[in-house]
Amino acid sequence: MTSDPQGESDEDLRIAPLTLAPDVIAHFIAEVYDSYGHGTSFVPRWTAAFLDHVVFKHPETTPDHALGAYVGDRLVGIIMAQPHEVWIGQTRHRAAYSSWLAVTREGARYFAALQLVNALRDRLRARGVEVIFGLAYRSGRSVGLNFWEGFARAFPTEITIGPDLKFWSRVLDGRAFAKAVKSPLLRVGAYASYVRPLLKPAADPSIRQFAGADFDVCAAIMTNAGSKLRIAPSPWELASAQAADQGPQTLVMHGATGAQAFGAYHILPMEDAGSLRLAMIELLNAQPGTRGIGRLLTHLLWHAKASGASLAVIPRKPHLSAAFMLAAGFVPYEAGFKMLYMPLTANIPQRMPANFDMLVR
Amino acid sequence: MTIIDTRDTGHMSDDIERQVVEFIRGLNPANASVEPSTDLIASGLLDSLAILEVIAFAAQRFSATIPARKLTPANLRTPRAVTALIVASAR
Repeated sequence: MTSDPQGESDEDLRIAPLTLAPDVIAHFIAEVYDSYGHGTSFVPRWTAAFLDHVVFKHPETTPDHALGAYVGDRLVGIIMAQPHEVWIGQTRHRAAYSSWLAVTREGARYFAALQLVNALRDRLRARGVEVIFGLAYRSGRSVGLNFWEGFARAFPTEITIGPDLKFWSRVLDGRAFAKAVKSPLLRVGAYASYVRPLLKPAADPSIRQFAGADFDVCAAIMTNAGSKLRIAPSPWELASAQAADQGPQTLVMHGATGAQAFGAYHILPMEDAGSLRLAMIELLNAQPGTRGIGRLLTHLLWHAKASGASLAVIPRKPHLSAAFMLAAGFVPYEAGFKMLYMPLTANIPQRMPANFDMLVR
Repeated sequence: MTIIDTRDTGHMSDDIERQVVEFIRGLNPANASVEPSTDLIASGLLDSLAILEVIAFAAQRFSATIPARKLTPANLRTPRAVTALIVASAR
């Protein structure tokens, strides 16, 4: 295991920037998650390529965005964060999306989760980051949300839990999905999807992959979007990764006057009864008055299915009405997800706005 | 809620220490051998989640506002060290 001799030491536990290869990190996370058990829920299996793309290859990342906790030479915990920017109202802020907190049982004895969170907050604050977001959920014997709720009870001014994150879901491949899930109810849902299968959309010259020239319009759409808290995407964020497993894929819909709407998804491998591939549609935004955004959504779904996804989910967003989502074949999906919100500076609201359009990774 | 009287810190520290030990014992009902000098790291009695419960307890019982960055292994190694942290944070 490698470590940084500059990391601050405290007794036997040392926090230092992670310099391990992404495949080692992905394996470590999977091992830790498995060691705690995870009940009946889907377990994310982030790939090395995805972690490499969204964290280590991000142009704004720093050594302080990925930290390891070490006891001697042994890695006992990690936390990582992806740089990004957000709008809160009409003010743009430097932010980080933090996830991927994993601590071994040995690390837990040294309070490694606490040390990692504190180190990440201190280091990113020193780099000018104003707020950290994250996501946690309660599932089986997993301890993630319990830890964050305990943190919020102990330090209510430093982190808040919530609001809830709810989803819309649509089965893309009923047979593959039914084979992969444990829940009988979800299996029934998988077969019910045969009633309304996803059909290949007709070729549509107005829909194509994002190109650099689309950035200004897409960024302006988010600048003027209705959610109080929303992503302020960078060109890097919208430029499609080489493959859907590796990072977001962005499609743009054009009208007579140029880009009118855009949407982005990435593939997240999951483990339940078996392996399945979930398409997380993070962004689906349009200029006011745009018609035909349902066509863009259908193309996103078809691309995701072609990438092997058997299920697509979209976080609920104020601008995606229930009528629109139901008409697109989605059903509500509530799985106990909660947003984590850590303001690092006084100019950030104490509580996360309930009206948001954010990353989910 | 207990208000810490800084004119009689020694006596109050003993009382806080007793309550901290009792609280930690309560987190581990199967293990009643917690003493003020018990090494919480070596014994593996507490993890981050449990120590957060201790901090929340200290805030409620003693009005101790402990900064998150003070939660280092050195400051949490024994119930006595936790007590010292609480007393220092309540002043």
